[in-house]
Amino acid sequence: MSVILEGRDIRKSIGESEILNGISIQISTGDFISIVGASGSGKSSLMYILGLLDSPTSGDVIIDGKKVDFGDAKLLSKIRNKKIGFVFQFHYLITELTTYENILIPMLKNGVKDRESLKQRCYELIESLGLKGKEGRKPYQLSGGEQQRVAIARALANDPEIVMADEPTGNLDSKNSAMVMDVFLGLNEKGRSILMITHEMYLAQETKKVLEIKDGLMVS
Amino acid sequence: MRSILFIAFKLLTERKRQALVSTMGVAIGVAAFIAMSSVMNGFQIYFIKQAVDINAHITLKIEETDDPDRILKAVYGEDIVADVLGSKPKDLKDKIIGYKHYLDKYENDDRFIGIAPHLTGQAILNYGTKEKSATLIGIEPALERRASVVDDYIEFGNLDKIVTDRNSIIIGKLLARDLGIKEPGKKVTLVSPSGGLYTLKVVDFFNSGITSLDQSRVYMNLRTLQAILDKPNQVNELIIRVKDVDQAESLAAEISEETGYYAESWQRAFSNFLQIFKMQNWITYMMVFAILIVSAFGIFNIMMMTVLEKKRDIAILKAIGYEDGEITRIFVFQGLLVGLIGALLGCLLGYLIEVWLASLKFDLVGIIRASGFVLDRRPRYFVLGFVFAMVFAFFASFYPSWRASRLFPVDIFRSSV
Repeated sequence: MSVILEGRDIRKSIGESEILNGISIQISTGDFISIVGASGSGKSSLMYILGLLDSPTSGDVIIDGKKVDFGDAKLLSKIRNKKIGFVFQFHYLITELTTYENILIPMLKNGVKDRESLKQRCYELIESLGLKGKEGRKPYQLSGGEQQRVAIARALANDPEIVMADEPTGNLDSKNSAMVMDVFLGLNEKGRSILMITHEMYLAQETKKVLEIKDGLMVS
Repeated sequence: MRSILFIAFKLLTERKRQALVSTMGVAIGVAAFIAMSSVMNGFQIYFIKQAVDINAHITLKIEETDDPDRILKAVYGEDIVADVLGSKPKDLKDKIIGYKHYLDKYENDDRFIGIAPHLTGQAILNYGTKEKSATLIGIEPALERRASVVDDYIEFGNLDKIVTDRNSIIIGKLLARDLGIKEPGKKVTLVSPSGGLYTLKVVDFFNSGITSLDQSRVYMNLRTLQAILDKPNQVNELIIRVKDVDQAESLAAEISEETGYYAESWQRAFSNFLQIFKMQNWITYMMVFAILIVSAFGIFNIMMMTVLEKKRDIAILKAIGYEDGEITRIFVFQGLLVGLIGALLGCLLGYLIEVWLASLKFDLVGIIRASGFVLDRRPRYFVLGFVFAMVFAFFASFYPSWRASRLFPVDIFRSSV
């Protein structure tokens, strides 16, 4: 299994407080890693840095063997668009857009111009995530579970190498949580790497590897 | 670019009410600009064209100097300070010496279209019991036609009659009305400044639309007026028509230098009106700009509101790879779209207002006379209105858009818990 993404000795301070105290992590093809920890332990901060949404105070992020230059905003945007898919606790769907359009926008950014292949990819995701018939609905016309599945479909739109999920079930009931978890497990079975932040141990135990962060340090 | 246009269009069209309000703001601003420019400039251009074309682009005349200190200055120098009492205006030698030489000279200069001699004077016209003062202008129709457009304003086209019948005159339409003359052929009595009485036949009316001219002007044969005023072979004005009216000022200075007479350009002759027009324009454009600024604030408000409401969307767009510049463009494009639709609607509305104003019929009597609004319907006002709206829309949307691009997605994700 090849390493897709690696974090080396990542440290993050905000003012006087140190959030991450030198964390190293490797994510390889087909990994399903969950990161657990108490609230404020630094797990989301780590995901934001690994997902290139935030920069570390020190340490490196290596993607496909190349050290990421956090000063190159254009490159960071490009990597986020092509290689990483994000799912958050809240769906963050654009309320003015339909299911279909929400899934479409990462692909448009990726420069996919062929209308037919855009349509085909969108409908493929809609179908695989059980959203058939909901493609024309706005987010407020969907249930919480459906909204989160649309967000997952959007994260998968550009076929990223890794999906990063920050408490993806944090806002869902147990039934929808199980459904979303099934989606992630299914994706991982097909070879997709997943990094999931959660504070729910029963969900973490379903993943291949569980890492715990405590006070900004990886403890297991 | 496609994704930016797509998102911008969607964000805007899904907020129809707000978009409509700001679009209408822009449309009203543009329409007001077009309508007001059309009315104001229509009036001004009409007045200047009429007044300038009828009078002259350049008038060569004797400078009116009435300096009671002139003798003292001649003896003691220009620096003398004196207050001369009991001085009377002197009868100046009111003629242009050797005017035929100037006629020949400037007639052959290709910067000029034509030059014509005038003899002007004042008199009283009597018709029945009515009497009115009049400004007499002695002309040579053949030359006059080349130096002014007087022919265009002679109602029945009888300008040449003053050549064939030397005792005939053409009087201003309003002067005729004031005297009670309704049709040509009537005989009036002219009382000259020296008290001489002359019976002259009105053969036509002069109707320029400029009230002050139509109320006072009388055209007659140059030779006849020379006889009446006892100024044989004299003229006191030369009027010159130039090819480029904007060059009149510099050409006047050149002519003045060459001839030693006072050459007055149309800009100087109408400087009072031009100043008033300039002030009018300032007031008009300030009002229109105020409207456009209000509409720009409408766009600014809506964009700021949108940015504040759409923080989460901006954060997710950034997370999925949209760059700062693209976020800016998404919001600027919304502002420009409002500006574009508003400007197009404004142009349409402005056109409809122009059509409506043009259809209004009423008697307008003031500096000019017209039977309704005199409009300047050139496309330049539509182009200018359109450009202003787009520029205002751009600036109104740029700051909120820039603010949007500066949002840090992690802050939004953290604060959304």
